[in-house]
Amino acid sequence: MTNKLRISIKGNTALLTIDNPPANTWDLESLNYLQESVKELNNNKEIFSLIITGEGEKFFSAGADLKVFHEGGKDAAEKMTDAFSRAFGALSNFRGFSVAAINGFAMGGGLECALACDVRIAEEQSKLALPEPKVGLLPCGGGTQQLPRLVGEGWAKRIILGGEQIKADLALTIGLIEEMSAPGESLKTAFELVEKANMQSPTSVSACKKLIHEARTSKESYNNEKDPFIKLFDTKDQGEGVAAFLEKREPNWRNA
Amino acid sequence: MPKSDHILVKELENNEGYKTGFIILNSPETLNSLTLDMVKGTLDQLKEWADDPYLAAVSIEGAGEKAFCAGGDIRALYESMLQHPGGPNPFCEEFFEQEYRLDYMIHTYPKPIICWVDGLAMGGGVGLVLGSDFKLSTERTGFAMPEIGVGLFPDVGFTSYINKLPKGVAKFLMLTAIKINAADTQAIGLTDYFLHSSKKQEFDKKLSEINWMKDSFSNVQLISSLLESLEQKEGLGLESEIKPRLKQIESLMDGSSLQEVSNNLLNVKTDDSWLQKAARGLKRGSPTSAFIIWDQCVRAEELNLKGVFQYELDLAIQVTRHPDFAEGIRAAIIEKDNNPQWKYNEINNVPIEWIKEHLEPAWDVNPLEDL
Repeated sequence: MTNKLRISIKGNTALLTIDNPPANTWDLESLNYLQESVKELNNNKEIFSLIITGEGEKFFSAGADLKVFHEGGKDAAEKMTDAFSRAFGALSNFRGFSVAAINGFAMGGGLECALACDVRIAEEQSKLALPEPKVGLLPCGGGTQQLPRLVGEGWAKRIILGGEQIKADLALTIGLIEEMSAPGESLKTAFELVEKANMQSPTSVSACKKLIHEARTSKESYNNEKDPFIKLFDTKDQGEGVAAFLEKREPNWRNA
Repeated sequence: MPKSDHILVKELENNEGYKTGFIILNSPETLNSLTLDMVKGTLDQLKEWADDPYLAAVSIEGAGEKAFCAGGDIRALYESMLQHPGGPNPFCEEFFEQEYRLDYMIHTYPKPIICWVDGLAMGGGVGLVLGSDFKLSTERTGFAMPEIGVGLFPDVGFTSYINKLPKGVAKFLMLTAIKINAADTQAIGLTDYFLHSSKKQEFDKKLSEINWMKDSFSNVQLISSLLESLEQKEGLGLESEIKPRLKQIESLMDGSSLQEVSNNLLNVKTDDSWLQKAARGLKRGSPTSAFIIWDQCVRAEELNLKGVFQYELDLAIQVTRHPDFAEGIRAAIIEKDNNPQWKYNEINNVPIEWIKEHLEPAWDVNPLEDL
C-alpha cells in the first residue's frame, strides 16, 4: 500500500490517481504498487477498463524522482529501471481498455506511463516530453520503443534526441495523443470514452487488444485472428452478445 | 504597486532578470482575514505575474505570528446580509465570486505557488492553500474548517479535497470544525513540508537565490530541492491528534445518513477529550450547515474542480439568503454571546424542503460559468 497512488473503483472502471505532490513523481514504492494493482485488476472480473491521471491541475507526472539517481548510484538505477519496466509493462498488458487522462506536464517516466495506456487524452495546457538525455539519462520505461510506434521515427527522434517539449495541440496533430480537452476536463472525457468501451464485450476487447499488440512483431496478417475468434465461442459473453442483439436488449457482460 | 492597503507585494530579483514574487497578507490585527479588497488585489497581482515571463514563482504568507489567514471578512458579509435579508445581495455575491476566482486561479496557476502557513489557516485561508503547489506548515500551524459554527459550510474549494483525505476525515473536519496542528496536516496530506518557523528568513533568502529557469517544470524541481534541504526531517516536536484516531474517525463517519453519522459522534462513549471536543463542535454547529456538508460529501464524487466552485457559489449565495449564516456571525463575533439561535436547532427537526431550497441554483446562469 502507498498513498502515492490512489485507486478507486467506479462501476466497471478503476481510476488510478498518481498523488505524490507537487510533481507526482514515481518512486520504487509507487511503481511496485502500480504493478501489483494492475495484476489485481486483471484478476477482478468486474473491472473492464482503467483510467490513470495525476492529482492536481498542473502535473500528470514528472517521471522518476531524480534524487534517486543522484544519491543511489548504479545499484539504485538498476532497481529503478527494473521497477519502471515491470510496472509500465504490466500497465501496457492490462487486460482491458486503458486511458491516460493527462492533466498537465507529462515528462519522462510520466509520459512513458501514458504511452503504456491504450489511449491518451491531454488537457490544453499539458506539455509532453522525454527529457532524460538532458540530464545524462535515457528513457527506461519504454519511451524509445513505444513513442516511434505512435508518432513515427522522425517525431520520436525530434522529441527524444532534440529534447523538444510538445504542447497538447501539436501532440494531437502528430498522433501522440488521441484527444485534447479543455483544462480540468480530461478525466470527464476519459470516463466518456471508457463508458463506450465498457458497453462492448470485455472478453472481445481483451482478445482484440492482445492481437493488436501481437501485430507489432508479427509478420502474418490474416491468420492470427482465427484461433482467438474461435476461442470466443467458449465464453459466456459471446453467446450473450449475439443473443442480446437478436433480442434487442442490452447485453449483460460476465467478463467470462 | 500594492493593490490593497492590506496586502504587501514585492518582487525580488534572482538571475538573468528572473524574479520571485511575494504576497504578504497584511492585516495581523484581523488575523489577515480576507476582505474583498485583499481578494481583488491578490487576484490582480497573480494575473499580472502570470503574464510576466520573468516572474518564476510566487510565495504567499501572512503577516505576524498568529495567522496565515483566518478566513473571509465575515463581518462585512454580516452587515450586507442585514441590509439585504433574503437577497439578492450584490456585496456577498461579489465577495464569494471573486474569492472563488482567486482560489481557482491558484489551483490552475501556470507557475509554482508556495504557501507558508505559519499560524492559523481557517476557511478562506485554507482556500488559498489548497491549490498551491507547496504547502508549508510550521510548529505554529493551526488548520480548521470552522464554517458550521457560523452557519456557513466549508467552501473555497474544500469539496474538491473531500475524497483526497483519508476516509471520513474531511467529513469529520467539516462537521466538527475542530482545529488540527501541523503534525495532523502532514499526516493526512493537507500540507507537504514541515519547516520550523525560524527557517523563514533562510527560506526567503535561498528562494531569491535560486537560478530560475524558463519553464515552470524545472522550477518546481528547484523549489522541491530547496525545501528538502530545509525541512525538519527528524520530526515535528508535535503529536498528531488525528493519526492515532484515523480508524475510529472512519468508522464514526461511516453511515448512510447525516442522522446516523451525527448520532455516532454525539453518542460515542469515550473519555477521549479530543473526541469530546469534536462532538461539541458538531452539537454547537448549525444543523442546516450539517445537511449542506452531507450534500458536499455526496457531490464531491462527481464534480471536477470547475464544477466544485460553481456548486459552492450557488450554495454560498443561498446561504446568504437564509437566516443561519447571519445569526451564526452575530453570535460568534458581533454580540459574542456564543448562543446562536439556529432556524432549526436539531438535525432531526430540519425539514427536507428547507435543505432543498439551499440546494437550488441561485441564478439562471452561474457567474463562474466562464472559469
